[in-house]
Amino acid sequence: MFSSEAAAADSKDGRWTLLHDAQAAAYAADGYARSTDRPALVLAQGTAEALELTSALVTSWGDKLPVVAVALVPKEEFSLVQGALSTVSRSLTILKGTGGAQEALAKAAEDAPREGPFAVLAAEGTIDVDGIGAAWETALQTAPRQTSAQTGCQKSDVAQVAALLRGFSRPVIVAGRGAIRSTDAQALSDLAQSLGAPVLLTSSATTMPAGRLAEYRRAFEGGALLPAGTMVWPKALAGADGVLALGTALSEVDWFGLKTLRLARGRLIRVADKPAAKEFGKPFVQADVPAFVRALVSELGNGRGQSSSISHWRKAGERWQKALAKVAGEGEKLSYIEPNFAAYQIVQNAPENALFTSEGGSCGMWLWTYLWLRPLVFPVQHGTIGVPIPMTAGIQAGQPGAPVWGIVGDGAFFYNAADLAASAKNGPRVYFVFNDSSWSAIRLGQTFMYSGRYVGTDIAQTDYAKIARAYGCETAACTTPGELLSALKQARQHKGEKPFVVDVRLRKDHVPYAGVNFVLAELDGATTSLAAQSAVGATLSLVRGRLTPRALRGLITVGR
Amino acid sequence: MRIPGIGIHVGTGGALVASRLSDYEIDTIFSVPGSQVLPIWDALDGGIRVVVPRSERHAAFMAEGYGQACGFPAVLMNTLGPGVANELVGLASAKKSATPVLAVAPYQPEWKYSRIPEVFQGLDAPAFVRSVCKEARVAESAESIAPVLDEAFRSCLASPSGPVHMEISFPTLFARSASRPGSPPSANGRKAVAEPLLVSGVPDQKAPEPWKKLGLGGKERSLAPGMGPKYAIPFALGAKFAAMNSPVAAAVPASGLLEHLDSLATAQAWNIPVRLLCAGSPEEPLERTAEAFGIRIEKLSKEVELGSASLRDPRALALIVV
Repeated sequence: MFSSEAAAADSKDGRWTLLHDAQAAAYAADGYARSTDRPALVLAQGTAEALELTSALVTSWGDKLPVVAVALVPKEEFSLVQGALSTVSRSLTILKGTGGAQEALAKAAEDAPREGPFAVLAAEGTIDVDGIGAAWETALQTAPRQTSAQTGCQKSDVAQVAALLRGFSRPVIVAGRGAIRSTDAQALSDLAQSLGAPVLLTSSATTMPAGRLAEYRRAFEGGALLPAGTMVWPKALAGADGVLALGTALSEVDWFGLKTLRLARGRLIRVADKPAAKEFGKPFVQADVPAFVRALVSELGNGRGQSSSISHWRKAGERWQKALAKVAGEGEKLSYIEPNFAAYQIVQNAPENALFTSEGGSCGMWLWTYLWLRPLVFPVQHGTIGVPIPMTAGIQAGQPGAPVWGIVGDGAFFYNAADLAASAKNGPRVYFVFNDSSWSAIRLGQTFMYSGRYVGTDIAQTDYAKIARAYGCETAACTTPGELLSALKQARQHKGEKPFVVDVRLRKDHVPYAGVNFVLAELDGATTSLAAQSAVGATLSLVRGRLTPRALRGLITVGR
Repeated sequence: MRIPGIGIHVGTGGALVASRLSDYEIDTIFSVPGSQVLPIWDALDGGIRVVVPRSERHAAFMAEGYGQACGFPAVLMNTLGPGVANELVGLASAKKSATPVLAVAPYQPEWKYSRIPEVFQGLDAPAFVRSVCKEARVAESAESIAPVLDEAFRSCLASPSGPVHMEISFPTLFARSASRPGSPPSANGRKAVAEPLLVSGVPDQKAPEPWKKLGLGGKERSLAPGMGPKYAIPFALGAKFAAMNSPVAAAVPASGLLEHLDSLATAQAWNIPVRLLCAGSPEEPLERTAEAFGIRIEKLSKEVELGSASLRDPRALALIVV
């Protein structure tokens, strides 16, 4: 249960997690739902708070998270809130009087895990904060745990898909969060072995809850489980002649511009519990994904697949990781900090049980590059910025004691920095501010599309360590690799109730390895209008070409 | 590294937007960067300041402050998806205070409408903002950019004035266009701001507290964000951009200071001196804020000092912590 400090000021219930405002509270609820797959409740009181909450709910809506939002608004101002709230919730319940909250929350708690968020709008004064808290607790206790809209699968569908899959020589499986949430890891691993196919996790699936991720890592030891956000992923997809997409509608985030460039040409078979807004599977099979996977394994039998394909992609992944580590390692000899060195060292030095979080800027892209199947809480579909600090409150509410290490960009540092002031007893919080005095993800577009004409993307040099001290944080600032390593040592030992904030000074105009693709995905639909042939060319060479440390070194400095 | 020969900015949809804004003599836009707004940014001529606040939410309140100060549409330009989403409360504030704000945002092309949930940063923006704006209009082609922008401008100023949202299909912004719109309709009504401005959180009061108590509220003009005192700091900073040669002062609650350090960073980036004034002993958040930004806290002991300290400096934004 999450709320702003103001909204729950009169509460006597200690279960509320309080944030500085309703937008931050909604991001905290998002972080909880995202990192646990369990429903979270967020409350707003008053029109301004309801609108703050709604602005954050967009992010949960994009990733279909089980967030339930309750907005208490003066009745005469319902019209200001209603349109936006209904646009970003699967269902909006408007309570007419004092009753109905229990029923509305019970329905939301039942339906949200399948596809959220849900919203309830009620008149201010008709129900108090603790009444909502009590109703939510009851709703959670009574809601049935059903995560799929389907309960089984048709034998004929299984046979049809198996026959098609047998005809492919280079199949891949793309697994979405809808599949990962409920499918037994071993069953998916068995299917991959049967087909001789690597499993490509979508961006949403890559950010699955930590416990689930551990199960998948165990089940795929010796197999090929490829996380999104790495160049091996689009290479595997581009090379496939058949794609079995499970529990995913394959959003633009997953395609990374491959469709626009006509690089992904394999036949796409889609299995999910409901059709996409504009269905594109050929065929599309509506089924309960776990049941379908089990039936398909049985239909295909064991040992039919080409294990050499699995081995090929596992080795490709290992080569990629080694190449990235080698390039990052070279950064230690420099007199300044390269972002790849920083991201690599942050991942290497984090405690084993650390949960990572970041945002949709270049700092997030760097973190994706080096995480390689360590747990990440990230706003995938909207790439929202300014979220890691409030999301941490939700992550640690769901996993008390776990350290959270976040990477935030300097551009978005201030969005929700006020929550740095909060004390927390749920575990250590460490944030690294990638401080390159620029809106670097957007600047990337100016580098590639506008001949390096930089308008508005410079940020005045700011001392984030000093500002974090204004919020009462412990801090460190580093400008050299040695200083960063020393700060990392402090970060590992940090146990305080206030966050530890590290100001990491970077040079401008670095290009995250996935950055070119990120720009192309973002501009899907406009790429044919662009004269950004260098961007297209760079993507082609990355997808088709050989990955070498030298090539990476060239890429990181292309913006300088 | 400069990559020669790539990047077009002449004759695109983005250039049409930039040119139409110049036609209306817009001199300032409040805009947080996003890839899809780059075609507009790149085509802006030197006559338009791009003020880059540190969040879209505060950009919207700055636009409200600017629009209320000069009585002319303030241009807010953020990117699609979460960028527009973050504007929501600021636009509602402008609607409540009947302030003209023209919010321009890139939008998904028509052929993506049917699959918005699977689109990166997909959001049905017109439906999302409609209830907090007077209108939400969409330009789906280069030819419609100027007419839709003209209509939006007119609507912003039509009584009661208020915020209008204009979405533009983003591939149109990048694409070359042969469209050559004629002269825009005249849009008069911009007030030159010469008098001192006072910002408080209480709308519809000529001399609200704490101004009366401090003997102010006479020759100064009072402004207030529609959503109340919480957002007084970014609102006041926006008003300051409309009154660079007039003193602007705002009464702000001490408890809210730490939520608005971004406004102080934006002010410093534009060399706007921020003065922190405090009537009693400064509380810890105020002291820490002052230290972080290298600002000396000025203590007020008499009413007359307030006038001299905060309102005499025409370059300054004075925050009176109450």
